[in-house]
Order: sequence, then C-alpha cells, then structure tokens
Amino acid sequence: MPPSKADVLQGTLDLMVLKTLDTIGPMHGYGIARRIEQVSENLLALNQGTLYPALLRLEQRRWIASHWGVSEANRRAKFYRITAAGRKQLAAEQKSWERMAAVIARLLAGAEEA
Amino acid sequence: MPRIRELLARFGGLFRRAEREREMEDELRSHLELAVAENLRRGMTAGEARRAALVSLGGMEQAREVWREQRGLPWLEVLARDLRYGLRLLARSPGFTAIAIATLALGIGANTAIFAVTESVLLRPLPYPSPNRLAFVREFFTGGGPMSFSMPDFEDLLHQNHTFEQIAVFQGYHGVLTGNGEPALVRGALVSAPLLSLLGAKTALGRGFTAGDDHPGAPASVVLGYGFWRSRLGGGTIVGRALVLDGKPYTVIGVLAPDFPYLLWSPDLYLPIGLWAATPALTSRGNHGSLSAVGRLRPGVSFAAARDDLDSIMARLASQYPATNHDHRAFVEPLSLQLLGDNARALWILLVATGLVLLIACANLANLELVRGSARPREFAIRAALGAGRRRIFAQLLTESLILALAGGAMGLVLAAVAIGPLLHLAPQDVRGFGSGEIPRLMATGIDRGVLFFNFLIAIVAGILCCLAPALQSSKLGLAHTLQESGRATSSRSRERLRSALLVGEMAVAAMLAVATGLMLRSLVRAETADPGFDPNRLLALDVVMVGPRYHSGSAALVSAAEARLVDESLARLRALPGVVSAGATLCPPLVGDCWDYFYSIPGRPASAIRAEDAEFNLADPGYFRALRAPLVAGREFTDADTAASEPVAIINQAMARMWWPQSSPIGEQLRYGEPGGKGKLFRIVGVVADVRQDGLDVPQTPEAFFPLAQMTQGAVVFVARTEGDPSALATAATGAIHAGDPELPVRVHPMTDYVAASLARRKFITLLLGLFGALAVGLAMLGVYGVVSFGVAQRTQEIGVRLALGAAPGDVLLEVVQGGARLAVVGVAIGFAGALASTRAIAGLLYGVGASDPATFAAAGLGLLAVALGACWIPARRAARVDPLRALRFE
Repeated sequence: MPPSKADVLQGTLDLMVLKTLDTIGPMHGYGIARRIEQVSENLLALNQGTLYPALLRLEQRRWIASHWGVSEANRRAKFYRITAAGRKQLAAEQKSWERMAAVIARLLAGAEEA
Repeated sequence: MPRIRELLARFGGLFRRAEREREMEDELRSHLELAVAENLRRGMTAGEARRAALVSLGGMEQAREVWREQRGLPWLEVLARDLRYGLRLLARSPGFTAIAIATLALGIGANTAIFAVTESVLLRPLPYPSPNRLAFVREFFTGGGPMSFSMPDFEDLLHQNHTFEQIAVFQGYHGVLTGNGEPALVRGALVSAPLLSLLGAKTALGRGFTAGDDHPGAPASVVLGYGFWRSRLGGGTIVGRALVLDGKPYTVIGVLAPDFPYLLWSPDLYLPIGLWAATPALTSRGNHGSLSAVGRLRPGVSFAAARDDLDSIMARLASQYPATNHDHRAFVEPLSLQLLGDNARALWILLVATGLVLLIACANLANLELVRGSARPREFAIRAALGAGRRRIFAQLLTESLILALAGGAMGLVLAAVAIGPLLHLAPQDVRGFGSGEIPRLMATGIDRGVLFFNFLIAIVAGILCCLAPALQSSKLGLAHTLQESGRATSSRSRERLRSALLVGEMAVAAMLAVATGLMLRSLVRAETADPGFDPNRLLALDVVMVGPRYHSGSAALVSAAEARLVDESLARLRALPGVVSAGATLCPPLVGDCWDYFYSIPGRPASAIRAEDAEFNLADPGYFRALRAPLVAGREFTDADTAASEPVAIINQAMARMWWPQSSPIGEQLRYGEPGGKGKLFRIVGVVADVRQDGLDVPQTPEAFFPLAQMTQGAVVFVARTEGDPSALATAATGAIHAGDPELPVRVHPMTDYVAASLARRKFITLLLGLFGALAVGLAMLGVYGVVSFGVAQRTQEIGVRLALGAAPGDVLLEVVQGGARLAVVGVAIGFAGALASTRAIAGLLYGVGASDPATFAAAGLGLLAVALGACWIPARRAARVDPLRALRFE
C-alpha cells in the first residue's frame, strides 16, 4: 500500500520526536513541542492533538519510554526518553530521510537548470 | 515487530480505561500548566497567559478524541458498542427475540443434527490407516457384473499384481459354539492373515494372525472380537484356551481391541481362512463362493490403474484357463463406496432438506426484521443525520442479526445434542447379523469438533442472510423524507415487495419439501401395501444353522443324511404341534435379502450382453410354498419324489418366467446353474411360483429359482410354521420341535412380521426424518404467511376502518385480505413445483412405486399447502373485517 499523506507527515513527526529526545535527553511533551518549535524557528507549531497521539504511538512501538517526574519548574510531568530500539529506528529513518532529501534536492536542482 | 507490539499495546489499551483516562488528563493539564508558566515568565498577566496557552494548544476535546483512538482499537470498541446496543434492543422486545431465536434454533438444530449424522457416516474417513488407498476388490464377469473370487484367482492376483501394497480376502462365517452352556450361533469372518493388520486392528490380548496360522496344516486358531469376549465369554482369561466351533477345537490366540471397526460391523470372532485352503471349495478355480478382498494401493496409484493392472492379470488367466475364467476381469472400487452403499444419497437429500428448512427460518426472520425495520426508519434516519454512515448502520444490523443467530445456533446445538439420541434409537437395526440393514457408523454419531464448527458456521451464515433484506431496505431510506413523516411506521412500497418476495420464496421451498415428503410417504405406503407374494401374518420363522461334523457331508453341494433327517424330522414334529397349520423349510426366508446369487443360463438361448444373467437362488422343501401361502402359478410343487437320486428340478418365480418365456410356458424347460457357456448342472423347470419378495418390500423382485432342499444344501435352513394364533406364542414349542432332534442346534425365532418391519426400517427412518423437516418447513412458512398478512392488516387498520365506516361490507374486506395472501401462496407453490420437477432426479432413486413427478402427490401437497396458507391468512383477515371504524380512526 502506498503511504498516504498523513503517513508521511506522521513519519516526519516521529523522526522529529525521536531526534529531539536523542539530542536533549528525557523530556516532557511540552518541552518536546517547544524544542521543535524553536528549532524550526516557529515554522512548525505542534498542538496537543498531534503530539500526544504520536508520543503514545511511539511508546506503543517501544521506541520511547515514559515515566512521571518533576519538571524544572517543580511541576509533575510525564517524561519521555528514547529506547535502544528507538535509536535504531531513528538511525534507519534518518538515513532514508536523507536519501529522500538528496533525491528531492537533485530533482529540484535539475528542474531549475532546465 | 513494532506494529505487532503496537497492536498488542492498543489491545491492552481497551482495559483499565478510567485509569488511562485520568493519566491522559493529568498529562494534558501538566502541558497546559507548563505553557501557562512559561507565558507568565514572559511577563503576561495570569489571564492572558492562560488564554494564550489554550489558543496555542488547539482544541482540547479533539486532542482527547485522537488520543483515545490511538490508545485503543476503535473498531473493536465500536463493535462492543453495537453489541451492547443490539443486546439492549433485543432485551427490549423479548417476544420478537424469543421467536427469532426459537426459529433459528429449530433450523440450525435440524441442520446440526443431520450434519452430525452425515459427518459420522459419510464424511469422516474410514477408520483405517490411509483409508483413501483402501480398495474393495472382486472379480468381474463381463456382461454379468461383480462376483466373488475363486481362491486360485485371488492368489494369482495377490502374487502377480504391481499396484497393491497388500491384498487380503475375507468371507462371512456362521458357526455353532458349543461347550459354553447353550449352543450359540456365532457370526464371524474367515480372513486371510494380513486382513486384520491391513485394517489397522490392534489386539487387547494376545496376538493377531500371522502367515504361520493361515495354512491348512496350521494349528486351528481363533481371534475374538472384544465385545464377544466380554459379553458372551465373560471377559476372563482366554488366550490359550480352546473354543469348540462346529465341533472342532480352536485355540484362542488373541482378542482384538474394543471397537475395532471390521468392515463396519462387529464379527464375534475371526478364523484364518488358510485352515480350509486344501478343501475343494477353495482349491477349485471355478468355484466362486463368497470371497471378496480388501487391498491397500501403493502410494500414488489410482483405482483405475489398479483395475487395469488386475484386469491384465485376469485376462492372462482367462486365456490360460478358458473353461473357468473366460470373460473374467477384475472389479476395483474405493472401499468407502462399497461400505456406504446408497446411504449416501439419502443423507445428502436429508442435508439439503434441513438446509432448506434453515433458509425458510432465515426468510421468516428477515421478514420479522423488516416488520420491525419499518418501525425503525426514524431511528436509522436520526442516526444517519448524526453522521452514521451506511456501513455503520449495516454493521449495526449485522451485529443484531448475528447476536440472534449465535444464540439460535447455541440453542440449536443443544437441541441437536438432545435429539441425536432418540434419532439413533429410531434408526433401523440389524435383525439377522452381518451388518446388513444398518446404516454403517450411524451409531458413532455425536457432537464433535467438526459438528461444532459446522454449527458455528451456519449460525454465522444464517445471521448474515437474515440481515440482508433489512439492510437492503435501510440503505434505501430517504433521510429528509423519513424525518418529515409522522411517527407512524411507514410502509414503503419496496419494503412490501421485498416482504412478499421473501414469502413467495418460503412457500416455494416449503412446497418442494412438501412434495418430497409426499413422494417418500407414498413410496412408504406403496411398499407397506406391496404384495409380498406370501402372507407374513401368523407365520413363525426359525433360523437354524446346521454346521459341524454331524452334518458335514464333505461336499458343499450334497445333502448329508444327518441334515436330511434333521429337516424331515423337525418338519414332522412342527406339523404335529397343536396350533401349527402347516410348515416348510427353505434356505433364505422372504425379505431378508439375497442369500445366494449366481449365474445361470437357459440352454439354447443366447446369453444377451445387456441382461445380467444372474439370479437369486434358494431352496425349498415340498411344503414351503404352502406354508408361506405363496400361490403356485403353473406346474407343480416339489414332492417327496424329488430326491438326490431323481432328476434335478427347479421352481422359478414369475419374474424369471416373464423374462425368458413371456408368451409361453416354462414348464418342462431347462435351466443351467453356473456361468453362461460353462458346464453347470441342468435343472428341469417344474413349476412357477408367485414373486415372493426376497430383497425387501420396496425392491422389485429379481428372477429367482428354487431347488429342492433334498437335492442341494447350503448348510443352513430356516423353518417356517403357519400358526392358528399369535406365532410368538408357539416360539418355545417350535424351538423344542427342532431341539428334539439335536439339542445343540442354535435356533433363532422371529415372527415373520419382524422381517417385514426390518425390511422397511430404513425407508421408514428416512421418510420420518424427511417428514419431520417437511412439517417444520411448512410450519415455519405458515408462520411467515401469518406474520406478513397480519402485519399488513395492522398497518392498514386505519384505511380499513375508513372503508368500513363508509359502508364497505366486512365480508369484502375479509376476502380481499385472504386474496392478497393467497395470491402470494399460489405463486410460491407454483415456483416450488417447478423446482421439485427440476430436481426429480435427485430423489427418484429413493422412491418406490411412484414417479418423481407423480401428479397426485403434487396435487395433494399443493392443495394441502394452500389450505393451510388460507388458514394462516384467515385469522388476520377476520381481524381486519372486525375492525371497529371508530377505534381505528381514534387510534391516531
């Protein structure tokens, strides 16, 4: 079955979440959202309806794990961290993403030349 | 892998919902608080910070919903919701639910029970190792048909074939067991050594036969059946002991394991046939006794290839021994075919009949659903307006229907389990041994995994069938149209058409079953009233086997002096008994089936290729036909002057006389016993007797010839005694008359009416079952007619009220309603008749004395059905005619 548009977006979000957790270590949902916004220079805004189902899905696939902890502001929050399986998945997705990006870039470059 | 983990996790998400919900809320709240805190840090006021956070986060409720969907398995939750809703709905109309489940339980129960029988008798592979490679093997006489082996022919096939792993011969055995209290008749089998292991027999005690037991010089040995050992010999220490059979000791070497299914009947004991291998009966190539063979094909060999292989050997033998083997070939067919015989057809017909009953049950239920559905369009329309798709509504209907069907299926299973016992009790029993007359493996019927699976499967199918019509209807609902209408149930024209179509279908199926039942019933009546050719009432039959050294004459065909004396003296004593009118003796009494068939020819008449020139042969003493009250049509009876020393004579039956001498008298003509072209013994025909039914009341009599008991013997005799009163009252005295000559002879006594009943038992059984299903079908169809018509009346109450108020005659209203129902019934019956006519071939083989398109049966079935249908219309029609106009109008 060819991936639908939603699947592609979902896959992208998965990649972003995994990469974020891999870079900054255990973090709660709010922190992950903020981090992605900052890195994207506010081009991407994640609402709860997108973020939390994605976190749940990643957790169901055992790519991330969660526990309740206390935030920097001394608030109770659920923290997520990447698992070993998640790192493996991240590497695989990163590679395929880079390959895809390169293809797209080459395509676009070619189109400009023509 | 991750996907499977996700699926499992989501399945887990279906449980402990409250806890998960709380956790979700906690996380959402903490997210909001973190956002607010950050906004505060940026210097917003508390109110601004909160508002900004809420805006940036998007719709909370939507987020929750998406989250929940990811957490669990939405379709499963929907299913659970539909189930709960369906159950609630069904609980709210218990009357409908009860009727629906009961209808389905009857339909599914009947199917399950008959399937259980079919599975046990037909579908289950034979209970032997690699059953599909087992073949039944006989000789085949070109132009004559299958026939028994001669032992030398069999041995040549055994040693020269290339297609069988193993072949073994067997034949039936009757013997007398003495030295264990009363002399007892035992039924056993003579088998060649490999037969039991070929059939996978295991021994409970001792061992089975080996080649060392199976030759003329071997010590006489016997293997016992488990049941015989337990019930007749007490089940004690037995191996190594000797049993006296026919006056000769046999050492018991083993007892077979319980329930060994020897060719689907249970012999008392088994003897190695090799002990007799040196007797003339087994050494002569021309002697075809009653040997048959079972063989296991080599893997990958087809039955046709095996037949070709044996055929080529038989062809070689034919040119080598033209006197005995001309035109002899081989007959090979799957053992299962041989053992099941024509029971297969009857069972398939019953299975189809129950399937049809289930169809009617489904149609009924669909109709009920439609009636209910017409009260539900508003419900569906509202749900559609709230966003339920067509698929959701269909799923809802299917769920409801499946709940009913599975409940009905479960009840049907219980019904079937309860009914199987009494059903088997009605089954034909074997009267005379050798497993004839029984339906093999019927008694092994039970509820097993296959039956459970079938039950579940048809419940599902029934569930789907039942909801198709309502689903079709609901998909046609016009949303706005329905919502605009008043709360009253709508009656769209197409729904009514669908209901009518279902009703017509029900009637058609019921008509087919009614016709089939009618034909079977008429066949049964025909068979019961068929002229048996003799008078079975007040007639006692005494079955005696004279074997053992006392009667042994050395040659099968010669009467020993002891045997002749026993017959003569027993007859004299029987005739002298007070209450006995006359007595006679024969080999094979009427209605027990074929005891002795063989080839014959008429000298000077060409053996025709189309006619199988084999006939049944039998023996009779001079008084036999008079005792039977079988009328002599021409010539004379046997007399005391017909002895072993005088000219061999025969009395033939009318069937044989018609076959060869349709225009002239057969008296004085000759008959040659044996294969056409062979050198068999010649018999002078001295008389023609009425067709005494040998094979059963429902089987047309084949040609038969009787020889005098004084001129031939088969080692067994059945005395018949015509009595003045109840024949059973004379049983003891009559047995005494025989035991006076030889107290060791086992005698079995039955009034001849037992044989009559036994000969029709199978037909009665099948007719009874079919009749049961036919009645069920008609009953359900009538329920359908009643339901549809009375619903139509209920819907038109207002209209009828208005018409009555305007002066319409109640009689006219009644007539109109009845007419409406009757029209559907007539169309249904017509279609059913067409179906019955188209499928006559399926049932023709089961009929006797009545054609498959018998007009009288069709007329009776049609008129009967229509009468009942009119009755079913009458009740609601009368209600319609009695509608009170005022109340009908106020009803709104």
